[in-house]
Amino acid sequence: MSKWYIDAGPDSDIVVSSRVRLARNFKNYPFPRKSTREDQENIIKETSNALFMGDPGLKERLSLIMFRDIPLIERQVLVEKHLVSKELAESDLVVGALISDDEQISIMLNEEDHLRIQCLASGMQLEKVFDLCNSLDDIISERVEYAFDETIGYLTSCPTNVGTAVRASLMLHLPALTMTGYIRDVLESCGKLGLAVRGLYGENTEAHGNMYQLSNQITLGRSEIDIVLSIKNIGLQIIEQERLLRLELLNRNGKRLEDRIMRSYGTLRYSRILTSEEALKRLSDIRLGINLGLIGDLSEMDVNELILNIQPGSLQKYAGRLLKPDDRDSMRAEYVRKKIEEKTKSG
Amino acid sequence: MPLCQICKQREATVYFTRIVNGFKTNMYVCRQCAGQEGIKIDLNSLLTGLLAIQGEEIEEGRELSCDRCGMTIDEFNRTGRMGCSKCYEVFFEPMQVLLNRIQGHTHHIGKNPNKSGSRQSNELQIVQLKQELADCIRNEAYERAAEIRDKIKALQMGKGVNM
Repeated sequence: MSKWYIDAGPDSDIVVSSRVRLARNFKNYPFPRKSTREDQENIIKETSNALFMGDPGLKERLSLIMFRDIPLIERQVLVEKHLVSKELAESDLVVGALISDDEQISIMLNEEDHLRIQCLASGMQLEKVFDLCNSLDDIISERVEYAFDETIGYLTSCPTNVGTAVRASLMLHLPALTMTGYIRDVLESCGKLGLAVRGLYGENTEAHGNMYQLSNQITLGRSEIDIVLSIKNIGLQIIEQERLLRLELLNRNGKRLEDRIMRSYGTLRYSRILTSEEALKRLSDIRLGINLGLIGDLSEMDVNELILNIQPGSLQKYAGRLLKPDDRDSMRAEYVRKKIEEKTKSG
Repeated sequence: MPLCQICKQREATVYFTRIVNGFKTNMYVCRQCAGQEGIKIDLNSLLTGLLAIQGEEIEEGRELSCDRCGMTIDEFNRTGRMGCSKCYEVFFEPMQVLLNRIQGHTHHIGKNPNKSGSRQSNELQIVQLKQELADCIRNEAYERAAEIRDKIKALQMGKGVNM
């Protein structure tokens, strides 16, 4: 089964991925932190049963991963692929995740809330991933009684999620806005509109590789679709600005931009040591080069895949052993060289 | 909001405890001064601060504790997390004030598990879809609006047949 990030989605020149997640809790158990290990086991069992009995097809599609059964490195890979949160990977509760083979669906079990139903797709496909989340939620709610209050909606461990408990987000690649400094205005406007902008790996992370995650903060008093569409609309406006700026950069300073992009390409093709930070920076240039038609033998999807696979956990999984940071940097350079060689040959 | 203790001009939005030679000082500063002073802002603790149930809200709820999970206001202020669904009943009043502050609303609009899917009557589904339709039109999502309009029509037709 091919993974979601292999397919090109709409507006994939800028939108890397669309994601929606719903937080849900069982009425009959305290929230995970206050629940017993037995409660936590039951939550995992009852969720799996509800899904598999509600739609037998899901049994083929979803695998239940219990975190106590997998090595640390596998957990780290799941975090790097945005399938589970760092908190879940580091939790000492009975935790797990139901993950689909195309990695489009991931239901986190016993994170901050009993359930975090999350769906991902490449490019701008927020409505599609929202519908998918919604249908999984419907199936579970046929057999599970949720913690819900008629006045304030779905009850969650953190009051910032109460109400719809929906978080819609877009991962955007914004090199031109960043290069020109206009990103500051974008961030400021987003703040005023009550939206959060974060880096590649969520809260407290920097925007490495010019990747920004745009998401809603308010979950109460607005309907799910209203929240999803407002993120989409603001995302579309940012996309428009980024595209205009890219053209302007090309028109005004084309040779310099081309030089920068091709130098990065050279670095990725021939370097022997690559830190994660440098790799992300160079890959950002390559992605821009592909969008501007300067690099023809790689696609945006190849870059998306490389970004996921050069992270420490994925790299060590590829190497088949634990690597010290220095060894990681040379393994990263080797991996990137090899992959680019493969892709450009087959393409 | 208090004024920044460094520049004494802008509003203080960052609150932190500084420990110098074993002496603790509590500081309220603005973002700009925090940046200049090289203070690394821990977003998590910042958020927990914003999430705290404060002032009058505390006085009313100080003695309360959740009879299901044992949550108290002090514990909530430390962790920023509720313990169970019952907590929202026990701390209903302070929570209304808090929700109004952090979310700007106190009433849920949207999905309701007791009224969705097969459990829901046509009429309720139509009301919900109409709300969704209005949201779509306001957001200029006309394609989706058309789909919803078709769903409403189908439900209304269905209702006619059933009757």
